[in-house]
Amino acid sequence: MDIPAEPAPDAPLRPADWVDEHGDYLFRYAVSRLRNAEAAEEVVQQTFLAGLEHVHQFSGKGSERGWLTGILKRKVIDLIRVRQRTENLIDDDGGDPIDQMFDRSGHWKKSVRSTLMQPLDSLEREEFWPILRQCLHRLPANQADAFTLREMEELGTEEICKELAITPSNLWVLLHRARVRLAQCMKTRWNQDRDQVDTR
Amino acid sequence: MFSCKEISKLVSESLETKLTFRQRVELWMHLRLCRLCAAFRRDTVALHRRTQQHVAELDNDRSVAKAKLSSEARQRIKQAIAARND
Repeated sequence: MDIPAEPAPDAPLRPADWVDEHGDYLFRYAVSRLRNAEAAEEVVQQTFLAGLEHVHQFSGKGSERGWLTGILKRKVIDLIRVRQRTENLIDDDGGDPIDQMFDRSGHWKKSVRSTLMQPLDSLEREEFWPILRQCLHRLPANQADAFTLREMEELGTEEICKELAITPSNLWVLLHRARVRLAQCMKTRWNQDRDQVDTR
Repeated sequence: MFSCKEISKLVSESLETKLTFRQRVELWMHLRLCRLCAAFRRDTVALHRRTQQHVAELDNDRSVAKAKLSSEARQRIKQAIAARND
């Protein structure tokens, strides 16, 4: 192993410039996963401070940004894990809105059918993220976090189950509920935005 | 026969794990006959693919999302770094 103890001269770390160079980027990364600006600011700060403490571990091979993002990724997952453990993990109260989308025999209800037939894929690129973000906010936190870890962080089932201390079947229930509700929410919001002729 | 609710669960699980032979047959038969569940599967795949696309754009800094650190946070974090860097 030839990992240098000091940053390579051609790729020095410059902590004084971190905020200006990478602050907004890391913030966007964090806020897209955490859905909360304050929490995102906090993990960005923690990332920089952890980076400072471990400057000597930077191999100089990858980019400074890539290295900081790796630290941030871990911080984001840690925060999700901690906040999940302080909340109820599975909302098995039976009042889940997904039940309102199916009738007693398990068929799609009439009220959701027309929305269901409208393809989600025709959402414009610029529309997609703001609407997904709004709809993630409306999900219970455990469903939104499971969806984020799976679809945004692309963690495997085992790793998510370990982080959230749940079983694979719990995880599949969370993901199933998240997907049904997200698709429905996104199409409903999308129609509303169009009707309002809103130009945000 | 599986209900649409059960089929929607299988659709979601098919993204996580390999379904059993029986589940795959049930799913295939149901989707051929039920356009609502077929629409749900189309949406589930679209949500998956477009979320990945969005994340890739975000990570390459080519995203339409342009959120920025607030100036207060920027100041605060700079001070924290300067204090620690001394």
